[in-house]
Amino acid sequence: MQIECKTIDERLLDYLYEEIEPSEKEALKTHIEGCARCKAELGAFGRVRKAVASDVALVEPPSSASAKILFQAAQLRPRPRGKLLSFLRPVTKIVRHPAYAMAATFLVIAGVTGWQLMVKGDLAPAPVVMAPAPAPTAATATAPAGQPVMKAPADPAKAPAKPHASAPPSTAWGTSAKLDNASDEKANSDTRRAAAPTQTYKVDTLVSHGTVGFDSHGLASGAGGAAAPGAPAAATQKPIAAPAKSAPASVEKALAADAPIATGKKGGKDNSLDDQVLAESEVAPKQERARKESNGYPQDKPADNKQAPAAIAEEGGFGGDRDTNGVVRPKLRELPVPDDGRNAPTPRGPYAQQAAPASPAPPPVMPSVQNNAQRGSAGIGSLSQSQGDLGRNNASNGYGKNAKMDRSQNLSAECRALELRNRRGAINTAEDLDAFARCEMDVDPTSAHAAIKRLAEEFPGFSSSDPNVEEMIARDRSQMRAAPAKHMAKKAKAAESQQRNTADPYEAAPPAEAKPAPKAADTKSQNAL
Amino acid sequence: MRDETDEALMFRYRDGEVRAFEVLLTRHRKPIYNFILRFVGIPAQAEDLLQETFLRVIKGAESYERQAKFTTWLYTIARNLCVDASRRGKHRKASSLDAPTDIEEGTGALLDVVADSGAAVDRKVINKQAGQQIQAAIDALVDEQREVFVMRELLDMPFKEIAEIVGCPENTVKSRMRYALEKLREALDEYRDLAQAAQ
Repeated sequence: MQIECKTIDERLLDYLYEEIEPSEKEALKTHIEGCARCKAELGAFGRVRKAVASDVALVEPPSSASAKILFQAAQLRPRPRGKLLSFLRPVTKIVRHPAYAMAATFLVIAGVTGWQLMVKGDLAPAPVVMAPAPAPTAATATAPAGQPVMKAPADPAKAPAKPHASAPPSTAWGTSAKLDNASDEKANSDTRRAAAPTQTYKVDTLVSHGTVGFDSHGLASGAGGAAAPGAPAAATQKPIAAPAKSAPASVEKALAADAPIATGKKGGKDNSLDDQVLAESEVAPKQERARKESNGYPQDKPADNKQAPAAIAEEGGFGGDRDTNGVVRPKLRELPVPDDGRNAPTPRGPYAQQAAPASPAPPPVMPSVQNNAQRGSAGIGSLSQSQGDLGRNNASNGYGKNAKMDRSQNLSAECRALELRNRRGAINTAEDLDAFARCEMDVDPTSAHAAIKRLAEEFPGFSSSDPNVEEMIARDRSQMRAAPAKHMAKKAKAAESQQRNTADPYEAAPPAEAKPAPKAADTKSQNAL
Repeated sequence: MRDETDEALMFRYRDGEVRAFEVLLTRHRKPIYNFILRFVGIPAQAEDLLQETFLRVIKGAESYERQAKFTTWLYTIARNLCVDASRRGKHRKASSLDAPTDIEEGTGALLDVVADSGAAVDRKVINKQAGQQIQAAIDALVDEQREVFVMRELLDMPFKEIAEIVGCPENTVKSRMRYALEKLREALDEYRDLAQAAQ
């Protein structure tokens, strides 16, 4: 009972104001009716409520207050919001956070700072300036990947010297290897034009004479004709001192110049090609450095004649050669071909280190690669102008990059050897010519046709085992029979040209080391005796 | 519009509809004024506080979200204003003839003290005096007890909502209410004894 009265005390107000469940209300009501204390308590509170309800009434507020409130409500009413922007309300709450303001401030400061650094040039990329091209066959250079190309000022003379750094240090093998697709070649050609006009002809002149090759940094990477250990100093210096306007003639000489310049022996057929190339690549840089020191020829000396590159290009590129069809093909067999990278020209100069990583890795020692370098490139891959020229010419006559890659992939070892021998003019037997023609039939029809022509001319009784070759031989023979006079005239012209080349003073010059110094030796021997 | 809930009317006013606010004002101005008046005891101050209360509602309408009942929000504003006004006015509070001399002791109003209980009064006057006695007893309540009593007894607000407005547990609110009722009962019992003695 007592407990129940305590429970009533706790729930009395809920019972009084009817904030209790109906079931609980019935239980409490039963207890209250039977309990005098609880009934008196509830009765007292009931009387208070009655008294308050009867004596205390709600007061009406002044109407003036309501009018003022309504006036303020009309004045300060919220502006209607567009439903389109309603979804931004939570976002605006977040964005108003001070952390976002700090982040935005940091971004602005960082952006301004970065911009100022860029403007000052501290972080600016190496500018690649493009100057107007002196000739449509201007040189090309392979810019490093990701290197931006910027337009140059209109005046080529104002072009900064720094753009040289943008050109990668090309190597002998790199020239042909780095000839990319046409778009890259064009862009790089434009890039190269900025830096080319001042130094191109000097380099081109040297290369056109088959004496020395430079990369785009003016690095001597080995001479062609002067690379042989016995090459005379006068022979290497002569092309440099030669008048610039004689460049086309020099090119003709270079085209006509063949192995004798490099080997010191006419024909040079008795030398092993690999040994020769190795010797050339090892000796050539030293000789070139010595030559430059003695000659005082600056690396970046402006060219005297800017028409030379175009003229050279017309001749089919530097060190180009003519095949039997009269097609000018690049041919720099005298230029060194690094075999395993140890003979590769080392980049020098202020930007050598920057440009060094961009140089391609030396390919493995493959005769076909050497052939590619000899045939399709200037040997010293740095000759960007020759790259461009050769690239274009190669693209037209099947000596482009893709053609070279195809050749290197398609040719077997035997065919490569034959091709090397053909380059050296060492194919003289009918069997070799036949094998060479068969090798070249698919990859280089021009060379194959030249070999077949030789077979038809020089070996009248020879018949090939290959029906295709045999068919072409028969066709050539029939043409020779049909127009013997024309054929003889052509042959005489070729012989005359060969004779003229043989009489070239450069080739005729005896090697410097060939001159013995017998006096000292004789003196020593006499003393010993 | 008059049948709409307070919250719906508030959203309408937030969207710029002044008529909705007028309905809200008509619906709540009388109870809120009485709540304020019972809290501060001065009609002029209660009028000012009433205007201030609705002005805050107007200013807060733009950011109004339906997180609680509108009445809870409204009475919370009014109570906070009353508490602030009560704190400011304590040090300049003047003694009133209606004000109790000692609330805790329950000695009653000054009229009770100075009145000549021996004078003959008729029943009408006694009833009138009973009403005044009730008013005096309500005013004599402590602020916490009075606000709870007013909200529960006069404004008919449930204990749960009162607890939300006041910011204390519901049992505390009930306890305060019980104390308030007991004091009023004592005041009524005293008046009843006086009335019986007068008769």
